[in-house]
Amino acid sequence: MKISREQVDYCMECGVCTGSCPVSRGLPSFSPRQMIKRVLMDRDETVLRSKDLWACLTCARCSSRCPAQIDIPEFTRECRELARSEENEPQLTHHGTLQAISSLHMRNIRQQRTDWAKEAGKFQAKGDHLYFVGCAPYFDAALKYGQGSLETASSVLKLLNRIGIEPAISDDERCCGHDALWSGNEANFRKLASLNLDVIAGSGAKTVLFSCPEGYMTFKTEIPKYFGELPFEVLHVSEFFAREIPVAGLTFKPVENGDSTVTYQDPCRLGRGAGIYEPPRDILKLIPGLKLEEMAFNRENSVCCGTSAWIECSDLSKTMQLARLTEAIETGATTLITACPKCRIHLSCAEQNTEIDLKIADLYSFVLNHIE
Amino acid sequence: MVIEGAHKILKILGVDEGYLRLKWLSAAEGNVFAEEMRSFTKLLKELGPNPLARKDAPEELKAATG
Repeated sequence: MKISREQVDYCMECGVCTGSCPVSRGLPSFSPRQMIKRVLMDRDETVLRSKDLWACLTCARCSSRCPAQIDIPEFTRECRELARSEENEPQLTHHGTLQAISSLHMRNIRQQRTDWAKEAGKFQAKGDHLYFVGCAPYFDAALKYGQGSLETASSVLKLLNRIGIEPAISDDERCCGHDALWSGNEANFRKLASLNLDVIAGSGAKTVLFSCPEGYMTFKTEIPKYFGELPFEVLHVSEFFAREIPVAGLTFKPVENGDSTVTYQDPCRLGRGAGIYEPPRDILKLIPGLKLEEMAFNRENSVCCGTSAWIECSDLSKTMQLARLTEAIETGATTLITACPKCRIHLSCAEQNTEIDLKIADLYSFVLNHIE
Repeated sequence: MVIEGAHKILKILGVDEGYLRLKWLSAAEGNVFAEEMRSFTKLLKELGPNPLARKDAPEELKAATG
């Protein structure tokens, strides 16, 4: 990426990024603006050996407000790439299990990752629509927080079946490479992306549907930067459902007492990352009697669920998560709905061992449960 | 619990769960240890080399840091 002298000059007179940064609030030594200054003004190479580089969530709350239009997450990502060459690496959470799985995906493996789909509904090996499931089968096996990760995938498949789509789902799908990319490991990202592009080409899909915001953003905005324009349509299922469910002739069950008020957590990658704010809300509004109350920080002001790319989960992550859950409770909602598997896992993890009584549900399971 | 999760992950990766075994054996149980090792060795010979370690696989595993 290029950051012009003019942008840096404007940057030095501002500070909106640091004021907007949820990490800076809890970790006052961390400042996006200072990072820019140290790297681009001071040519301070110690940045590449600092832990600060890994504290950033790449949530883009800073860059979405930056008057100088500096892409700070991308700046961080490129610094991370250099930091790795200095052997400055992040602290991996969950013992590095997810990174290990992702690395194994670069090998010549034969996965059995569609067993859940055989139980949940109808799908095919090839077809016009491919459902890119994402890491749900692995999350389901490795992480036990709240509702299982495969419930989301099953609900998406059932909803697709209900509107008459039997998507292709592949046993050969790989990790999308999102976490590798944002952890400064472009080589792994490229390898995974290239394997996935082969799988998609082999499926004959004209449209690839994503439920995971990270997978969606990776294909929508990141992979084309490295591989050029993709020969298929990249569509998030929330957009697809917002368009298709209202015309599919489905009947909704009204909400039950005590279940009528919900709030919605905008995932960073879906909202600020890909500009999808309304479709998830539009789907929820189809449920009769449901009240959607917004948290104070919503849409482009939404706050990250506290950790990203399975690295650097810290006290600060927990503080951010508890603040977010409290914000959700303050809306009067009994359920917090999110469209991201990681938001759901992180917020469910934080809720354990607290007095907070809030259901945390994924969008698709919630909607499916309210369809006759 | 941990081993169950790891077995599930192996299964999804297409690797036989038999490659991974976890047992707690006391130092006083020499015969149990010997029997466990014999049966595990026998099973591993039957299963053959680890499919994830095949020569046609790239070398990125060392980059398991993301």
